[in-house]
Amino acid sequence: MIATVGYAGILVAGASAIGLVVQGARAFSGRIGTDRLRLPAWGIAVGAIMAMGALELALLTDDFSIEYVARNHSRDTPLIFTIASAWASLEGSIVLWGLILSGFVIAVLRSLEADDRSGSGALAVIGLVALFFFGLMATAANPFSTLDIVPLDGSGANPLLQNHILMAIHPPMLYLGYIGLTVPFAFAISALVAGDGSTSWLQRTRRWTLIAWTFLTLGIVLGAWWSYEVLGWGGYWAWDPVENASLLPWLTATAFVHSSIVQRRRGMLQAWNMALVISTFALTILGTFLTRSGVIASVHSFTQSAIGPALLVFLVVILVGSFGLFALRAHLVASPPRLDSLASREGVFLLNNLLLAVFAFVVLIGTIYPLILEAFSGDRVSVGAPWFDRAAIPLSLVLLLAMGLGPLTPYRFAAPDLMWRRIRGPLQTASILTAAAVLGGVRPITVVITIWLAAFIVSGIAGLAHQRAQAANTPYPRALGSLFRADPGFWGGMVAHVGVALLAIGIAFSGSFGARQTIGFEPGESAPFGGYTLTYEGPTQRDEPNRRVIGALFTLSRGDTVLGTLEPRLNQYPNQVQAIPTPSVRTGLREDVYLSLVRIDSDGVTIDAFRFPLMWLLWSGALLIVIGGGWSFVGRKRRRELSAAKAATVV
Amino acid sequence: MSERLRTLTALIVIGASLLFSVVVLATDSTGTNDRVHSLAERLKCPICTSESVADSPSQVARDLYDLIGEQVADGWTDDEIFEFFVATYGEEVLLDPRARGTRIVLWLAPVVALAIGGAVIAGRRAGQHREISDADRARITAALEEEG
Repeated sequence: MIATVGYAGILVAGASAIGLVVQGARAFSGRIGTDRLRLPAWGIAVGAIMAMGALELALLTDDFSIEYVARNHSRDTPLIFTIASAWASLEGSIVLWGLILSGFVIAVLRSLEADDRSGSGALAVIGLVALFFFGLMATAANPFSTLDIVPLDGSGANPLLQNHILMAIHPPMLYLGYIGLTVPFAFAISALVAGDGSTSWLQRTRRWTLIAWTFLTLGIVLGAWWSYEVLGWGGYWAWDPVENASLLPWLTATAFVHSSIVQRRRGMLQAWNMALVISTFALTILGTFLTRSGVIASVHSFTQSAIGPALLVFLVVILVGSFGLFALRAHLVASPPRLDSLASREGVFLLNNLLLAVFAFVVLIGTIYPLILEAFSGDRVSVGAPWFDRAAIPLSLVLLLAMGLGPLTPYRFAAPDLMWRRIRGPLQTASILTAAAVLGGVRPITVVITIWLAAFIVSGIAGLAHQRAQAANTPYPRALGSLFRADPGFWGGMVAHVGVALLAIGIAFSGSFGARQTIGFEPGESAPFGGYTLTYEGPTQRDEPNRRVIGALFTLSRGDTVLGTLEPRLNQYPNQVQAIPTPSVRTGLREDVYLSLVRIDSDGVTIDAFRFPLMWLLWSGALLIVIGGGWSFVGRKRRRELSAAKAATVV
Repeated sequence: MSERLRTLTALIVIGASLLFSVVVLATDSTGTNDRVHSLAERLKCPICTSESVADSPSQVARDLYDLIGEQVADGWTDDEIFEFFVATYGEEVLLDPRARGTRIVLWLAPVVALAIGGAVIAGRRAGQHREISDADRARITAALEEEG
């Protein structure tokens, strides 16, 4: 029964998607009004809600006649993981995809004006994307396929999901980012088809782009944090294909967030922006293909289910269709080149875009080259962290330099003496701080350069804020606060820049000064560890509803002071033989102490003990980037509402 | 403070700080480079999907880490150690592929991309003509900046 309702929801949404494509195209060509799009748009939303609702209901009512429930749920799965199981596995994750996409459909629908051709065209494009995903649900990835023999109990939720709730939050955040990027893509395609050379598509999608970018950033950060706090290998980023899949669209989306400013301010780069948006959307589909088809585990296994080939075909259709259209019509929308001088804010933005595009290209090559090589020649090659780092570190350092210069550089042309007056203050601060760090014993050259660049970025932004606040008529603290409210787009960006600077320092320090030591203990034994003393108090064991937790209790002390206890654990789940290790992390101002359990028995315990300096700086930097991104669209909306309210009172 | 004095102070402060940093870094001899670790970071743990010998917590990786340590102690060069691992586990043990055969693509592609991108931007710039001189433009910009 539940399965029937859920599948009916998928069909309703799929049929409505066809309706949206047809009606969107007709409204685009002006044959019908935009009000006729309301029915198919809401049809998608209702169908998607039915599908997701049915899936949740099936999970909550232990309906093991549905294969998805039998595979991803059991009677003793805790409630929170039962709910999250609805998107923890392939078929369910596509249902969530459809639900989020339908949310964006409604949002775009509500933004339509009467006789809105470009918006109608965009909805038709989103309809096509929705048709693909609901088609996938109806065929290859049907979450409601039933079992002839109904098992008494299911095999339980994915152990990695049950191990930490972040695993339930991280994918939807990424999806919000991935799927949100469909909106600017759809508006760009609509403008291309119409041959509309105005920048209205860009203005209209700016907020969606920022929202999507912010959620994508948050998703990546949560993934890294999960990797660090839960996986227990001691790192947060490994240039793993799955990680790269999320980074790729982020890099091009970041390039777009910046280049769209140039287009708004100076009317440049229209065609380039469209190419960026198309690439970004294609990269989200590539990422979905890489993570959801099994192609990474083995190049030859991805054809075992029809989902891999379907996603690959969809990717090719998008690439050929969009870039074919782009090749035919870009000349109609291209803006005339208006670059006065490379020594200008536009020039720095171009540098930013060049570096980010090359960065994305490098990550793309490194990620898919092994797959292509193996698929065509059977030859295997590993492309790992050393290869990525060699390109990523210099590119990132130059990006940091551009980030420091950009906000201080005027548009059109930066006269040398003006530029010098603007940068000499930040340069002095940065140089003094760098010398102090070197005096304090900081050595590797990359870390020293990172400190210099980060200090340059932060002091440049602080200087800007100080100047503007001083120039205002209001008292200084209030003027500083109102700066952020007056121009949320710019200052949200600056907050994000400060976040990137802190993140860079965190990455440089933890990467260069992190240390690992493998130590064996007998119960009651103590061992020195990087200036601390670790004492093994003994093993612990407790049974939780869904798992057995085996831990090792440690006391961390420095001299005679006890700093705290740590308990690295192994979590044993009934549906998996291999226990899942969970590290124990003590975050400190100077450094994190991070213990991961390697082996435990009655005689003793072996642990990997790590020290990572300034990790809190890394995470708070990442959080600032998200806050900055969030402020740039929340603040914008607030401002718009405030001015609307003001206008209303004046009338 | 006059404009000239500010410039002078800035130049002295920046120059002195950077000179100090560069001199200290250049004369620093405490080479704490852990050769075993950096080699282990460039070799894949053979039973893992993508983790290096240095990162993987598996027993195989620990044994190989110790093996690298012995090889370094016995005076093997980096290339000899890599050769040994390639002979035992195949090319895919190298996380940092060597630029041989078709793998050259991995090395050329980033450089070519950067060159093409740079050329496009430079070409865009060259394709324009100017209507006003640089000096005039500077004056206008400066005036606008004073305003803003």
